[in-house]
Amino acid sequence: MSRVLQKKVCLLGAFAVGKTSLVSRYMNGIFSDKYLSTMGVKIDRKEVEVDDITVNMMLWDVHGEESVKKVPVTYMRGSAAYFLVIDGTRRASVEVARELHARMRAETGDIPFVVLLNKADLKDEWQLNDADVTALREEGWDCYLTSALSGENVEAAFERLAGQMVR
Amino acid sequence: MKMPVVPEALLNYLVEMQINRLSPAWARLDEACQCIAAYGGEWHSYSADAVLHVGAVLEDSFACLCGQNFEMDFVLPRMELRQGSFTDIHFVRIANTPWLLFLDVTEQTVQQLVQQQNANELSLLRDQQRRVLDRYVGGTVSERSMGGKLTFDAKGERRDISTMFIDLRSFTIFNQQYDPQYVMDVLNQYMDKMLPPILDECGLVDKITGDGAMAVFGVLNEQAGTAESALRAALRIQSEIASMNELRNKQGDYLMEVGIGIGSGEAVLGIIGAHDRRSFTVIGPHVNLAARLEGKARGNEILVDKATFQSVKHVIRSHECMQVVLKGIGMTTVYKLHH
Repeated sequence: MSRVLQKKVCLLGAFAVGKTSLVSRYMNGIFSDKYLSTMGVKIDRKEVEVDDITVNMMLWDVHGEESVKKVPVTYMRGSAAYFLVIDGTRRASVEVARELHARMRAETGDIPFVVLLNKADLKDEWQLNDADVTALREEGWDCYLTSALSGENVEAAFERLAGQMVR
Repeated sequence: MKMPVVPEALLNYLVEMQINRLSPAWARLDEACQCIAAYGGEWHSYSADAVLHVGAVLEDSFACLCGQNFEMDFVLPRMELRQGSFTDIHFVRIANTPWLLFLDVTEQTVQQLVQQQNANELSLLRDQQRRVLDRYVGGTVSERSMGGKLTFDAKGERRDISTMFIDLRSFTIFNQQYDPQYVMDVLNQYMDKMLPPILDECGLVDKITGDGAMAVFGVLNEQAGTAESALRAALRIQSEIASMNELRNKQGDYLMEVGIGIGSGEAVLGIIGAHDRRSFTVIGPHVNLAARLEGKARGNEILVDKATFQSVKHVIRSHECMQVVLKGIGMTTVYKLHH
């Protein structure tokens, strides 16, 4: 009989980077190009099999960080892992991710995280170039170029984080 | 509990307005905060399928509390436990007894949602405008424009500026020989080498004319040394085009070179047009001169007028001075700058 683990996983990032769309793509395989701002937190549960372990991922889709509306640390507490979501078409979203990363680390310590460089389908409009992505990887950030629209790398990134939580 | 002295009718009104509207639901937890010891209130407002009974394991009843640390009091604001319903979850210890309190904050959250949605959409729109401006006029000019610091009116403004015309040589033949889509792709590759050096020197790309462009240096109020900026951009364009052509030559691709003309002097900067069709424009004798110089320049050449030469002669290695007849202008002293 396989072991079952329940783990809290937060999705963090600036507003409108695509956190809700990524969860929607991963959970239901659907995408809507209409932007709907998230208030507070919406939680979804997804079962992922890693070797002989069932990981119940409690996905916390947290509202986007804004200068006037910070993500409260109470949302971060108790996380087993997290995603940092960056919008490749908005360079400013990298700095927001850095700040959230620092706050998360201060709150939870050294837990697994994966960076989603989202909106890969809009590559023509990207403000991040290859050198920027290489620099992030050189900092030790485990980066995936994702697209909630096409689904590119979405499942792979979620499974990667699930794997990191049990190993 | 000490209650303020208010008539019972008002007290009931306050309770209704401040407490009952929030549909409070509560659970008392065991000492270890792992199980439910007692519960009450309007749980039906929060979760239809919650497993609620005395002795129930907390995480089984409330998956949203998975991993939560109960060593200190906390509030989880605006948890969307059901689609479109928002709950504030409070955990408090009162006289060593741990309590969970759920309050329905849907009404106020939905009001805030509308404001947040509008604010975020405006912010995204502004980002989008900035990106479009960045593409055409460069980061510095776009930043000033977005901040309202770059404005011209119909009367115009006199400034000392430098104007550059650049043009791809042999483009007409290329255009006639190849498929239009391929021509477009190659043109964009060349433009990628021609435009960034201008933007990096705070030049304003005023017009893109298919196989060439017109750029103005000195649009920013405090920009000094406009001729030097134009020259640096021109030298970098020629260097980058040469590097690209070297690669294209190895691949057997069609090669095009760039001719550049630069003129400097006083000009009037302003907006012309009417109603909804207006555009930035530069008017001055040196503008026409720069266009004529570009027309005379051969591939890989930079030709400048006397005013530009006087401003940059201390930074150039060698040059050639020529007397050239320019259409509509006549005999003119022209300097070919070597690079």
